[in-house]
Amino acid sequence: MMNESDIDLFERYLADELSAEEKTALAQRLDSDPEFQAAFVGYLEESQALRVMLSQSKQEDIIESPSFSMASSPRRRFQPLGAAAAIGLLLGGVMTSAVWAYAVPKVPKVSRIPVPLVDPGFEQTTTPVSAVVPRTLNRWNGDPSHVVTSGDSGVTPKQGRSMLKMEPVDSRRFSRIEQIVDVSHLVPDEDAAVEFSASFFCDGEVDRYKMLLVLRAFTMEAEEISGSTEKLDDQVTSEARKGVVIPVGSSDWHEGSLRMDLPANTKTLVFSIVAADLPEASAGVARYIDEVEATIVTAHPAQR
Amino acid sequence: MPDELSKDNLLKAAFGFHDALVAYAYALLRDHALAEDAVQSAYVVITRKADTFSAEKSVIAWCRGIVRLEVLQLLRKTGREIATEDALLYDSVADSFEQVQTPAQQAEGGERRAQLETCLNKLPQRSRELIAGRYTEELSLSGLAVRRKMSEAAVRKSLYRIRLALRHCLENELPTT
Repeated sequence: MMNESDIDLFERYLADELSAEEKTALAQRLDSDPEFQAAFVGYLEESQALRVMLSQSKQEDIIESPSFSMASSPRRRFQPLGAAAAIGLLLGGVMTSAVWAYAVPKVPKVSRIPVPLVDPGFEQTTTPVSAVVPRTLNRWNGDPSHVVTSGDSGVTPKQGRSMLKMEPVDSRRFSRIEQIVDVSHLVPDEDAAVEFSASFFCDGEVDRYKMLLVLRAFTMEAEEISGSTEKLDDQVTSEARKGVVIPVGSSDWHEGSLRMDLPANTKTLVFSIVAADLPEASAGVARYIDEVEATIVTAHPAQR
Repeated sequence: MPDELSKDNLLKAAFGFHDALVAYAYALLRDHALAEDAVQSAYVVITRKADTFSAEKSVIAWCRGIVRLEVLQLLRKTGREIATEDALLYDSVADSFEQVQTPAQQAEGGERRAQLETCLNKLPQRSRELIAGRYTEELSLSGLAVRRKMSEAAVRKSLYRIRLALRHCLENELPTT
């Protein structure tokens, strides 16, 4: 059951009034408490439903009022336009349904093109992994991390003989690795997506483990990115993130995956894996990564 | 999702998730007008890409993925890039919707919404006016406090009681506010 402090927390999150500590605490509760997670989403859905109901009722009041022309407009500036667009698009979809039934296959045939990640299973990478900057193509770069075998670590790799062990970073609450890949010859002009996955294992005693997959697309040539040291955030044309929360005490590998639509003209992809929330208490916790995979999915393979 | 889902059925389903998607976008953007913008732009993409929908995914998850990209674009356009430290919370918020907003949960949405409307109509006029100020005029707590000649703390408490009363009502109890 939601209590007053939960509602207060949700409202202060929405008003961007939380301190750094409160943000961390909120993220941790959302990740670890399914009831709280459901309460948070339920609260936002309910707020939206109330907004729509009250707005509709206000519009009815305005129409019924003889002085409606003097009444202030509701602030939901996109409601009429959105509804009109929705109805128009829906009608368009319905009216063309007969044509669609014959003109297109029900489920488009798609091609799956593996992205040429270098050493996705960490079998050949030399350690320690090179630093992120200056950026280098086609190899793993990142914060301090080492390739280890089961003999070194007591953990059996997900595949092959070895895996990557991420080390905690001083003065930061996360550490990451990344690989920059030239995909200019693989991405078609339209309708393509990329799927990115990796397997994770955490070893140690803390109250939660969280890993993140982050995928960013660029229309910059890979050669322009290679060797660069400056921030490239402004150049990102699309980005997707996916968190993987690993239950405490789990002794299994866990897979995380994400899918992102690719903007046209994507030439470079940066695949990143982040070990998030590295509190001081987790200094003794080891996080392992193995079996990284990436695939471009498209109904229109590039003809280049 | 059945393999034979046709484009018009897909679009019907997608438009049926409008409020759920706005709630999702609002959770990430924390600005209602921008959230409506993001969902509206997403529907343009959804309509354009309907024939690329993969039956392996649920419609709500597919739509949410498109909304998320629109949200990220809006954040960039409006110069509201997410700091790395905030990105972890942002990710937890997005994950929460992914876990909770399932096709099964959404299927129950219509009934719940009708019940919420009934409960809303049972609220005293004064309570309705207070939440209307909060949700349709988007007044801040301090703005509501000035209008209602109440302290900010009292407004906060009243809103909490109203939301709690609605919750009780949804669980088949009468509103107490």
